[in-house]
Amino acid sequence: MTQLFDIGRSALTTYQAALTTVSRNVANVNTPGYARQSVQFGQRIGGGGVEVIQLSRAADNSALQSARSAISENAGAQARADALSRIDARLSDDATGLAEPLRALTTAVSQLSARPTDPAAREALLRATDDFAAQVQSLDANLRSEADQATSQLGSLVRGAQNQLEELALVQQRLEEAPVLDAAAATLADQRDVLLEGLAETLGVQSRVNADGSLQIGLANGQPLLEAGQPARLGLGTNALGELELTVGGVGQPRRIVGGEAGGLLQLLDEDIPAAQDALGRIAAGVADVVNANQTAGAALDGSPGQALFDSPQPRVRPASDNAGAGTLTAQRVDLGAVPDTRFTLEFDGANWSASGADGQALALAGTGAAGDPLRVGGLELTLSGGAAAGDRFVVEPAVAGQIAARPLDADALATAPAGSAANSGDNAQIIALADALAGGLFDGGRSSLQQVTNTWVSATGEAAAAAQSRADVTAAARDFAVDRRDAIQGVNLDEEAADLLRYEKAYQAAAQVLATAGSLFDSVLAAVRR
Amino acid sequence: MRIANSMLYRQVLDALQQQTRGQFEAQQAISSGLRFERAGEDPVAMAGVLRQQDANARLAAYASNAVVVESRLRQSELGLDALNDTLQAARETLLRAQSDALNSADRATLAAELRSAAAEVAAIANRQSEDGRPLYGGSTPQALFTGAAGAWVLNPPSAPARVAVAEGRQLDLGLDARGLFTTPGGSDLPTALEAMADQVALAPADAPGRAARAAALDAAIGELDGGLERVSAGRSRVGLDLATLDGLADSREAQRIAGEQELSRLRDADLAAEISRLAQHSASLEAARAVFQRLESQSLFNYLR
Repeated sequence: MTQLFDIGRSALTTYQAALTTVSRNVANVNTPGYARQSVQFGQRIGGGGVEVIQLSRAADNSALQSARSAISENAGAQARADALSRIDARLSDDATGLAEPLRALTTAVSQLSARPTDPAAREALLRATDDFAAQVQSLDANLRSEADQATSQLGSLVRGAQNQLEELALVQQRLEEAPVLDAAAATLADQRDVLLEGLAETLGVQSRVNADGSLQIGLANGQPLLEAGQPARLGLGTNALGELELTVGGVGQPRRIVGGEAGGLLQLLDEDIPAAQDALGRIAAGVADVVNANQTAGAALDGSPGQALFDSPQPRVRPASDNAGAGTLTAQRVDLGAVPDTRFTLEFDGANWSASGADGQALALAGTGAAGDPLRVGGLELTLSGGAAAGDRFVVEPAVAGQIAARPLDADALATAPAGSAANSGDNAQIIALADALAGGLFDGGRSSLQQVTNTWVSATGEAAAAAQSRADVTAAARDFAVDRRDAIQGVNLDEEAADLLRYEKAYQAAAQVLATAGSLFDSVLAAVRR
Repeated sequence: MRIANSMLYRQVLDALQQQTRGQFEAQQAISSGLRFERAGEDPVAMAGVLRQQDANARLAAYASNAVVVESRLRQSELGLDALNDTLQAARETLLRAQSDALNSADRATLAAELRSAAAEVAAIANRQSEDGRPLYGGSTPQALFTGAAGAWVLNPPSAPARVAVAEGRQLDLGLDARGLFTTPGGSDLPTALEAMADQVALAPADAPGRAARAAALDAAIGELDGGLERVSAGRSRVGLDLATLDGLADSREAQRIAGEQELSRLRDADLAAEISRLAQHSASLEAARAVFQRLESQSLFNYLR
């Protein structure tokens, strides 16, 4: 009789636990990272009855790992695609891009050739030069603002990752201390998975939860982020060449091993934005140099020598912060058409200099760097002052776009006539020469005009933005697939839970009935004894 | 495959977002009339658009230059007509002066006509273009004739500026007037006309004098004929340039229309297609919303009472 009571009671408590698990699942149907829980029943040893022998989390480490990796890849691709799309939209718009101001400038030059002494046509050209310079400055400011925004976003990401890492260390410690997987431990495991996913999304952190519950977490190069339960110290720093980098324990990490959103932003900062700045600088310097050279070779309306219309963007050389030598390099543009397209690095090995482009490819270099024999890379000449030590490096930007400015000149100062012309001459040979120079092949061995280089830049930026968006779309599909695979295993299905609820409720009612029957039997026995 | 509730909702949400995006893009294309707004949406077409916009801007600049050149040529043509009339009238005066029946008053009148013609020629030569510069001066800013009757000073004109009016095609900005206001003998026209007036006013008493005067008047008529030939050559040059401008205007217009068509082909939205796309996405969006509603109401829990 007692056994009947005991069996009934075990069933009641067991199904109560099962119903609690079902209610937990139902309650957490929308909780991110929640892994569906289930109870496994077993026969109670000795005396019969039933008991919960195990609480399980429906989590699969391989599915979780695939989802984290796909989420990380997509976050990086999307962050880069978003920024490139903004730059693309800016360049493609007639009002904010560079193609239209350059077109307006060449049109003003052409129209001035038909009215060389007309004050209105002269003013129109000055206005066009002002507008061109202002648009270059605005685009340059826009690119710098994109870089600032990405840098600030990176700072937030790294600070967030540090917090997540510290929280993860605590959660993992408690998990390792938990004797069995109970509801509290399951909640901790869910939290761990959410934190790991967050770290993958922000930094592309790679992690593996081993079968024994231990956790390995680190960057792609194996740099651990959690050692002996202690979280690593994450930060942002700049390397010797001035590039932003992730630091772990104060040590800079190579850019390519950082993934997630931070990886996308670092790629944007190290490759995409500098490339856009160099392209802008190249066009701005091209226009400024061509216009200035033409104007200083001509005569103003009063017959005096013509003047430069622009402050032209100049090359900039930045020495690496770890240079042992005190030498500085001064760069000068001597052949506009031959100037390298993008920034490059010069390195001294103690005896010789070498130059490599942004893509790591070696560039042709001549000269020794001495005053009489400057280093020559493309159309740039670089003169060394002070000594260079072995290993010294310098980053050379061919033209700093933001330096362009239109000089405030009087319309009469425009040189439309050739040098030596009398005052008030209607000769337009100089302005015709300028129109020809602006339309002529200047870059790429004389094949591309300034307008063609500008148009190519706009469409190439569009292609880069389209490629980045396409990668973001592909990785988003891969992410959705991986997340679906993860959720197919660990997500809650309400119909399933409703069925379980019904099943356990009936079992609970039956167990209650067993107890009632046992009570009735007991009453019958008591009544028989009383008689 | 096991389906979790979160998967169902995510899928419906993705579908809703996809259809809303499609609807938004179709609406944007319809309202702007453009198939794309960023190079990233169609880099190849964008490259074509930029090339065509450059070509259109060049055409517009050529058209604007052609207007200036044409205006200058028409003003030059008017001056040439006036110059022709003046020189023709002077020639007739000289022919009349050849008669021996003229009395001194007649000769004085004819001489006055020639002096007036000299002043008229100087005035024509000093005409200004719309920008206040000498119409026939080329690039020089000075008036062609300074001084006054009896002491004309010719500031020789220079070659006019050349202006691009089509790809690889330049025309003179106005008439090249070098030599136009001088006689074949090298004298400037007003001075020559005044010298002719002096000859006309003479009344030689003897036969050798009369013969010399007649020879001088013959020579003067020859000089004027030479001048008229130069005017005629100038008119034909202006006429040729104006005809060239006409031809270029036709070809420019044809290029402009072709350019606009090419731009439209590359960039303009196909409204019929976009409207159909809008309808398609709207219908799909409705369907996705209906699925969402159905999902909301379909749960086993609804049957547990």
